[in-house]
Amino acid sequence: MRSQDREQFEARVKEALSSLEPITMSDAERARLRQAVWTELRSGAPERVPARIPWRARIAGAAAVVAVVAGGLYAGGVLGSGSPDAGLTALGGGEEERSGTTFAIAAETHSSGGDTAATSSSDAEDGDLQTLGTNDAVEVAPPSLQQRLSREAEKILLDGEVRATGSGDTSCQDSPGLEGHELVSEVEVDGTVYQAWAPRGQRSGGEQADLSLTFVDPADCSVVLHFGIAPGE
Amino acid sequence: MTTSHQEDAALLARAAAGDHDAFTAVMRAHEDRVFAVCLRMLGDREAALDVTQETFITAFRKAHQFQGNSAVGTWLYRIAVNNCYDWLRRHKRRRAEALPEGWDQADPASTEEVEAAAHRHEIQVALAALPSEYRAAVILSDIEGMALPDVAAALGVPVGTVKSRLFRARRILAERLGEPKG
Repeated sequence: MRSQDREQFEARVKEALSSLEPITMSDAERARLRQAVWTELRSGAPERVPARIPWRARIAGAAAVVAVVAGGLYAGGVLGSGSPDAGLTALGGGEEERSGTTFAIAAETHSSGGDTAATSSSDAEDGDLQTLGTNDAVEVAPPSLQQRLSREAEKILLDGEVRATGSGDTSCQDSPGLEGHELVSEVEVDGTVYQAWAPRGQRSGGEQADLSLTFVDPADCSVVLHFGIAPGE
Repeated sequence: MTTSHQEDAALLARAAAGDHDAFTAVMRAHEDRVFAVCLRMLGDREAALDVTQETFITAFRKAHQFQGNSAVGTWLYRIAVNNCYDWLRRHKRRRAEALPEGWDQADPASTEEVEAAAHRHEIQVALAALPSEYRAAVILSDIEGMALPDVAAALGVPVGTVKSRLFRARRILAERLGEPKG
């Protein structure tokens, strides 16, 4: 999609959304809300603890992240032979969107599920948001490698932040999962430099509808993360 | 009624110290916008009232944790959106139902108003059909008019994630509203 076309369609969508009538409460609703809030607060009732994220969902989320990493190692031959999509496939069950975006979102869903008790580093950096939400029992945890690489991927794909590859090492080019890809950037996380590979001819900067990056550890050419912003639902 | 960020923060600090009148002032300044976000997220007026109630109860109990690094409104939206997500999970609905006909407060009388009302309903249906994470981004950014950093803070995700969610959400809306894919 051309940049100008994208701007036009976004403008039309925004215009459509702005035509929605503003929402306000009726006087009765407002009175009901205030009375209900103060009744609850003054009753001295124990702090309401809305439903937590079911443990199965937490485990599923964690398992999805582990599966992604395992899939990447599997595809990279560390765990044996496998398809480059093993990691993505592992995310198929239970996710609403069957696309590359599912991959990125899965890592964030795990994070945002924990964010209801504020487990992301971004929350830890803003004390206001640190323990908001409906779950309080989970401690703040540092972002995972996948979360940090996902954020780097967004900078590269959406903001066009491309860092020149120092070594220009393309020895991983023929590795499983990188067929038809080219080295576009490098990111350093905790002292380890990861290579970002993109489909040949893909441009960064958010101008294309289909955007994906594959992060590889150049030490063994293993796929660490496949990040995609893909069309479709 | 709106108050400046500083006034809001000062009121919340007083509420944290037990000043109920101060918290009432915070509620009055933000209750309509919080309710609007909840209603657009959940598509049900009763549910929106319940979640708005939960939001302000949580805000009062956690007012002492607010450190002033974000606007009070952003902080409240964060609580509200998380509560909406929880509500949708509890009710096993990832997408809100389309807002029922008749909830629109406009009272169409002329042909143009009838058509406009139909168009608004179409938009509401398309909005309600978005995945909840996309819907939240669109509501806060394109309907509530929040800046991207504030939307990111309210959703607890990076700005880049907000951009990608908005891009995909707008494209889905455009397709559903009959706009060319481009």
